[in-house]
Amino acid sequence: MGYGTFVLKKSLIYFSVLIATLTILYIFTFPILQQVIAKSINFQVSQFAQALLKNSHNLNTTQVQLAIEKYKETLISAYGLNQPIINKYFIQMYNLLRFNFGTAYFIQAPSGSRDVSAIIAYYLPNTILLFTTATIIFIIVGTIIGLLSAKSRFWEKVIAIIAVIHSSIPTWWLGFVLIAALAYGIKVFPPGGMTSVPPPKNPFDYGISVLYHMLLPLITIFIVNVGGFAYIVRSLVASIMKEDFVITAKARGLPDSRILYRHVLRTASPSIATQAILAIASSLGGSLTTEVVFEWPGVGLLTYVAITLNDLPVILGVTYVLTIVLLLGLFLGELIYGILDPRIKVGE
Amino acid sequence: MSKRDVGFSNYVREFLHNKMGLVGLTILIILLIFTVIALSIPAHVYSSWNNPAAWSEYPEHVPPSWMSIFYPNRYFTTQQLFPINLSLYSPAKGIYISLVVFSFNWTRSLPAYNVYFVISTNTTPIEEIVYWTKPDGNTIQISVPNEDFNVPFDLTSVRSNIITYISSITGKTPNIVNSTILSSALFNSPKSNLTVIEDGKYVVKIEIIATKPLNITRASLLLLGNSYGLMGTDYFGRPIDLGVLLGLPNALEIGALTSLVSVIVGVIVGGISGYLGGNKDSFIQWITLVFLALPALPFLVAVSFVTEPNLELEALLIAFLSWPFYAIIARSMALSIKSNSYVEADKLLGIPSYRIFFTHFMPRLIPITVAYMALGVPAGILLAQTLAFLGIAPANIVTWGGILDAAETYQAQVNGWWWWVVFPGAMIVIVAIPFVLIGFAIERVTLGER
Repeated sequence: MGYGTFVLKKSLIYFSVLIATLTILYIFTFPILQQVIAKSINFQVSQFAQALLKNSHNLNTTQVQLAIEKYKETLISAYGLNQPIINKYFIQMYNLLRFNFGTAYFIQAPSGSRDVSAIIAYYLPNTILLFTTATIIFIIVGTIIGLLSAKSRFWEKVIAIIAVIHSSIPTWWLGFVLIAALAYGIKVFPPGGMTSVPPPKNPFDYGISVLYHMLLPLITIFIVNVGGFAYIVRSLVASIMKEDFVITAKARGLPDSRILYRHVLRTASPSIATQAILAIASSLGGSLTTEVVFEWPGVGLLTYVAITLNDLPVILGVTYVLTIVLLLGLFLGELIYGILDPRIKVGE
Repeated sequence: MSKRDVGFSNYVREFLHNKMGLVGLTILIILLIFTVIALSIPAHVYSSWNNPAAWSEYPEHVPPSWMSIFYPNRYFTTQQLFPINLSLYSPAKGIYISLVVFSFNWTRSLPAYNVYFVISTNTTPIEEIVYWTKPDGNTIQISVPNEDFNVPFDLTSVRSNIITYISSITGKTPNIVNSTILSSALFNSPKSNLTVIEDGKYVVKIEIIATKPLNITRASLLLLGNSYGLMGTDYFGRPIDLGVLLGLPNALEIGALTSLVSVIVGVIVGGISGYLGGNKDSFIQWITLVFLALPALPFLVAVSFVTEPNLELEALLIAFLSWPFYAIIARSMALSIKSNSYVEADKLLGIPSYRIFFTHFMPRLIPITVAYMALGVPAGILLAQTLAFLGIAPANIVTWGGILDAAETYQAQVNGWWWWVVFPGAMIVIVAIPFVLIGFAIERVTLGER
């Protein structure tokens, strides 16, 4: 099996997983989805009616009423509200795959659009900027600590402690405490937001301002997650250390660090890469509360605002987008694993 | 797998030799004792948590009382006074005056945070008047509005007399009227324009005028301190230590329930998947992937808009999302067991596969299952508290996430009310840690040190 066939097979599997996952979401959110669609239709009809009344003075009221009724009916059949549930399902899946999540009740994108996908498209890059940076930092440091722990007892003890911290501290709470201490207590960091207010005009100053505002969230995410990742690396390395080729290498009298970096790290790298991709993909989904605490204008804060406003279309849209992002991450992980680990390609 | 003998008592012995496990077990037992205490608290306390009126007699957003050890000049606790004298006399026919007298010494450099007058009688009086006498003999007369009879009243509900007093001394009406300003009028010397505390003996007389002789059923004077209890109070005066205690049972319940269900389902699915192999394995892996791809937090948020879950349903929903992680681990374990020669031998001997599964797979999967059950508890607790922090929690239960949500709403971090943020969050960590320690310990005992 060549790499092309491998990619094709994986693509098919992941597409079917995507459809199945969206189906589960659909089943669970069916009642609110119907409500969302109905409201969305009403909104579009009222906009249509306004446009009609403004632009066509030659129509009388009955004609206007008729045109509005007709428009409403086309919308209802387009969303499949009058159709059997199975048709509704297919129409909804088609809409989801086209990123058509309907119209938000209250929230607007800065462009003024109330299209949910436009709103999410505006906020998603901010989330990706913060969480991908944070995840890359803790993956690099975590891998180094994980490898160090394979050599020294000291680092092993440290890892055990920080792994305990990782599993027991909520990121948002640590953020909360750090803000209280470092942003309001001793004013070292800004308490929240993405840039200073008003945002600097000069692109260089703008970048510096964003970096400065990113620092405290980065520190928080790093503290909470580095231990967990180091623990994963440690257990991967520990299991490889037991393999025959490592023992052989030791018997050949190779220095420890050479064994660790040349033999063990090379064998562990596909798994570490997969874990890293998985961490990046799932960090976006877990970003919700962290963004709320740091007032970082990403999808997490967007969802929180949507929760407080009961803006269901936005909540559903974010859920769908994050599902797709997570699956995309998992898929990329598999592809990278396929490149790094030759056994996968031959289908072992 | 471990080279040591497989056997329950061996595991227990090994476990008890592990320092991490012992520490975890000790913390867990302490937490369970507190849970029993929390469960013995009457239900009306739980239901009054979200009712701000129930906490009006507590000082609002004050730090823990042990802060007075570090800052004896700045913080002090609430003082409850009982009458030194109760008397009844009748100056004219049909008029009965009850006199309740309190006396106390005030030597602090700060006024009391607020003053509460608690007077209950068997019949409704026609008038109540408070005479507040300062050490230099100066007396402030406060008449109590009719609606406050028999209900404990504080300075803000009798503010008009005190404001008149303040403006008569300082010559201007205060812009902001809160309990601290009102209280400073009662404790500061009029000579200093109400800026310096008067030290010495205060006498508070309460005259209750009625048409019949009345019985005083309850009488006390609360000089509210600016610190309270072990963990302070929040914006509404709710004691944080009580909230932390009330939140304990549901945190443990949701953690335990989530972990139990998700680990059992995950291990069974993953174990069977790894054991069967081939196409069936691929299919089960596909299903696992489907559930793995559901983003937990947004999914739970969206679903809670449909169902408004109670505690058990919320736990099941979390379990519904978290079993794939355990399925993946169990599958890889099952694969490694499968490659052992004794499994091959049993297969060659024609032993039915369900028996191989029960004799070789289950006993080796169970210890690690127990480890992951322990490790799964914190994940469930964290997710449930995070949901509560977002304002999505089962109604009528007290959660730490909910307390922290309120702290965020009322900007505890900006106002420096650190106790409101630190203690409930620390409880999440304290409850999670023993399970992590126990899980790691069991994992080590099962898999060996390295």
